[in-house]
Amino acid sequence: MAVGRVSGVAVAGIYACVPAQVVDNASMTALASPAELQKVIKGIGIERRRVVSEGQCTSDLAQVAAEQLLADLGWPSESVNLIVFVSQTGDYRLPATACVLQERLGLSKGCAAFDLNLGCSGYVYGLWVASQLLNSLGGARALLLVGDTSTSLLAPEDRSVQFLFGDAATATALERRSDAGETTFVLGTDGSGASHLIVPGGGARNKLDNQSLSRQPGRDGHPRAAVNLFMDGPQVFNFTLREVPGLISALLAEAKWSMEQVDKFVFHQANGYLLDYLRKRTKIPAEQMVLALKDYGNTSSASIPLAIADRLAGDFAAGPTRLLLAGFGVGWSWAAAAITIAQGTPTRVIEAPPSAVPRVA
Amino acid sequence: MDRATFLRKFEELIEVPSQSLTEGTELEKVESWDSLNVIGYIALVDETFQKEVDPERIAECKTVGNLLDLAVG
Repeated sequence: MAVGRVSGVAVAGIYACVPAQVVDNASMTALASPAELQKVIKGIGIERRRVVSEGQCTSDLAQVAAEQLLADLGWPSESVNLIVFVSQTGDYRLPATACVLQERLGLSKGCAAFDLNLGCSGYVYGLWVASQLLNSLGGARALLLVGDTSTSLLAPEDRSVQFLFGDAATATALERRSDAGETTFVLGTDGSGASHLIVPGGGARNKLDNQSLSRQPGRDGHPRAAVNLFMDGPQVFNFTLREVPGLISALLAEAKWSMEQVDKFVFHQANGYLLDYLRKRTKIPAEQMVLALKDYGNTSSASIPLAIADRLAGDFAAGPTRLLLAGFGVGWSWAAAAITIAQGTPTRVIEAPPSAVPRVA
Repeated sequence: MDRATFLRKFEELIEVPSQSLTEGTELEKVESWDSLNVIGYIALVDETFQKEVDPERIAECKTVGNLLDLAVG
């Protein structure tokens, strides 16, 4: 596995933004009987999810989180020199959503901006890339904007994904601070799993055509179109068991942390069953494991910072917090970080009203 | 662990009465054998035998006995 180390860059704040619209899984009786729904809810540990309204994009949620975070930190817009936008649901095929957000956030033209196309592992990747680049920019500040509106990719009758995914975006402020300690990263990839979690259509490989929107039963029997998300749950589960326990032990070894020195473990919030099994398998005490998926579902790249914002404000207020972050999934791609968050670092969840941001184009 | 003991654990997993399944029971007649329980089965095999089972081979299983072969065999 690849190992990265970054020193002298601190997380100054982590804000999450979720859409106001709540969908209760128990209400989804068009897709399953009430008894089946109860079984699914118990199995995946997800009771409700936040879902965007028509016209609301990942960038809109990211903008709300970023504006509030900049205001609360008192950071003038010209002090930000880097925007990294991590998502698989950008506004356009091109240009990069980071460029669009530079203008919408009123940031200066002296700002580097680009997108990263990653999902479950994307937050940790974004932290690694943005921190490392900040060190080469000299005295700068960065905004790491990470999120997805995966519900826009789901076929309406696909029971293999409909109860699982929610929408959210997050903003993490990073800045150079000489007293910031070292963050250790471990990253890995196995592209042989690409076909198990994929939106196959609409890209350059399978171009949009007049069949792209037509929904046909897939090999699991659920109807979906080429532009919809396909997920093979058992393959995802197998991949996770194969790679994640080793990822955690490798990171602890590289960071020279013991399990007991970690205050909180924040894993990609894939589903409750998987996280519970993984926790037992890696012998993480239940009270150290952060879970926020009951109310939000699996929010793809946003799930780690959203879980932090939803659950760890009290920890951050109380003292420095040692976090072990681990993202794993679509790719297959995985990345973990051992990071210490300074006392008093602000973190919160904001709700975006349906039409908070006008559509741009 | 022998096949009979694993079969009892499998019955527990998919929430059917103990001793209600035999090796010859066809999976398509077991109502609670659904996608969530496929994942539960992978976890059960991992936990019991520290062994990874290929989901494609699970999909090929026709009977409870086939699942036992995959796990124990």
